[in-house]
Amino acid sequence: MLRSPEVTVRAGAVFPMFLIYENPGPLAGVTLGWRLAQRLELVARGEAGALFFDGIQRYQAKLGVGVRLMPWPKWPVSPWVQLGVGTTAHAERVGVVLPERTASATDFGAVVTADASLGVRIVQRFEVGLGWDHIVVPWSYYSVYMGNEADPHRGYALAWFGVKL
Amino acid sequence: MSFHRLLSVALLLAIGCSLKPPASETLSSLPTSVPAPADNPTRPEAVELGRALFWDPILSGNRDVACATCHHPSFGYTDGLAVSVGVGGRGVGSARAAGPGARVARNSMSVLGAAFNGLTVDGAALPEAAPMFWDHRTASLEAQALGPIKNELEMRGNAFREDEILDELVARLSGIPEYVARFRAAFGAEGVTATTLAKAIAAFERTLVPSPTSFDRYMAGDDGAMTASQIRGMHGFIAQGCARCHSGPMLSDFKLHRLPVRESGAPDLGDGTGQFRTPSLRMITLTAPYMHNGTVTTLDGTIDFYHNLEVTSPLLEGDVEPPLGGGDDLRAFYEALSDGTFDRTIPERVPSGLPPGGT
Ligand code: HEC
Ligand code: HEC
Repeated sequence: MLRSPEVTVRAGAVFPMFLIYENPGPLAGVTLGWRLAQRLELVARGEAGALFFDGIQRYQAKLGVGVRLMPWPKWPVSPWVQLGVGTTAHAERVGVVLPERTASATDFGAVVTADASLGVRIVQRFEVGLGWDHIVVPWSYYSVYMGNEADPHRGYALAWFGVKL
Repeated sequence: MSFHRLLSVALLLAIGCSLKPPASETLSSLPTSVPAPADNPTRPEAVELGRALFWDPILSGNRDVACATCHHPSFGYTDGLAVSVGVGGRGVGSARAAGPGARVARNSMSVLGAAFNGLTVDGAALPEAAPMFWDHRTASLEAQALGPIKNELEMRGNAFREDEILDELVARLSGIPEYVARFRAAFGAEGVTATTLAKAIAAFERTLVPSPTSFDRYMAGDDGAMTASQIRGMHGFIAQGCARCHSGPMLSDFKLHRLPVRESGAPDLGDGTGQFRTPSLRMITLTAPYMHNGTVTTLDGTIDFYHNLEVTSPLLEGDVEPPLGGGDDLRAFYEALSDGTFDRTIPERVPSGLPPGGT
């Protein structure tokens, strides 16, 4: 049986690198960590982010699991790396105001991501992290367009600051 | 309220922002009435006479080419070729491209909707001032109609000089009683002249306007007329700056621009400035190949054109990126601009007795 987990709440930013998004948006999340060994943790992460760009709003939420390796867990500034997989669901609205009317459409979907992140834990309490969530199974594939424009199947970067409760 | 509707309202309230492009970069539906000059109202007698003339190869020097040869309903009133094949050509479509005949060095423009040329976000041009051709060298459908007739490569050939051909055509038409009667019905005592010939063709062209497309119906308030993908495509089109030039009801600013379009084998016959009108994107799915010289063969190619475009000189324009990942959505938006129905009549006979549409 696993003991009760360490809970870290996080806040930061998400940097989209897919579709036409260009601007970073806010991110809030929580990580649960269970010690498997002195240097290894099983982690579960959940986070929500929002992206805005030129009349598009996208709200996304991720649930994922992974493992975190901490080579020097006792150091006051202790680096770690983490690998995981997850799924990110989204709701997206696009809108554009035209003389005759506002045109808008809403879309829902989910992608499967593989993530890698690294960071440091400071005095066993605070955490700074950077991560990349790579989209491995996108929500949609081109079915009509067959040209050479890059596929939208990239991912998004994350940066956050966390506090262990 | 449906769940989707509710959610989109919630999302909207959360942020309250839709893209608000400047007025010069907006899109809108086409008016339902077609403007005509005061001296050439669109009357049925003139329209039907114009249809006959449009299809009748008698208007070409060697009686082999008609307007419809290069503006055929099967190709959205273009010819489906990279560059048009005029005098001496045979057939339509790819057969014509492979055969003999004079190459015109430019891609045929659709006549569908040309009655609205000059209509921009700022309002309509007078029909007398409607810009014509890739380089706007002529204004009004009436003036345009005499252009190909006098052009050596398109219709005239070399049997007649440019200053002879109109007299020759008036003489030919005056020798055919059916034409004489139909000109009289349409234009009264004026009868058969180069002016009434042009007026009849222009009157017919003013009826070659597609019925409202999905885009027009959505703009007019029918929420179900466009799919989510089409709306995303339209949003991306505007957000990425395509509507800086492709704006208004025609998706054209009716201005000339110089884009880094690949040169074709044949040199362009224009004034050499390399400037061409922003083409309308209405009926775009029917009018391949694309660009003034037909060097882009497919719709996907038009998206890739902007994707791969390198603006290397300050004289060049068009440095915009198509929306990344928006290929399907943009194609869907193109469909929403192209699903109007239009007159596809191919007459069984024309008054000269020659094969309608030419040989
Ligand atoms: C040999 C093929 C050919 C024939 C025949 C021909 N056209 Fe065209 N048409 C073209 C091409 C090519 C263009 C574009 C030319 C340019 O920009 O220089 C064009 C342009 C036009 C335009 C301008 C559309 C716009 O949006 O500016 C109209 C209208 C038109 N043609 C009508 C006619 C009529 C009417 C006839 C018969 C009297 C005719 N054409 C005969 C090939 C042809
Ligand atoms: C600077 C003005 C400008 C901008 C911005 C622009 N276009 Fe164009 N577009 C043109 C002009 C001009 C042509 C014709 C070029 C030529 O043939 O020399 C053209 C041609 C086209 C054509 C071919 C139409 C036909 O009938 O041959 C398509 C499709 C098109 N543009 C789509 C787009 C899309 C999609 C975007 C945005 C990614 C875009 N354009 C942005 C001016 C512009």
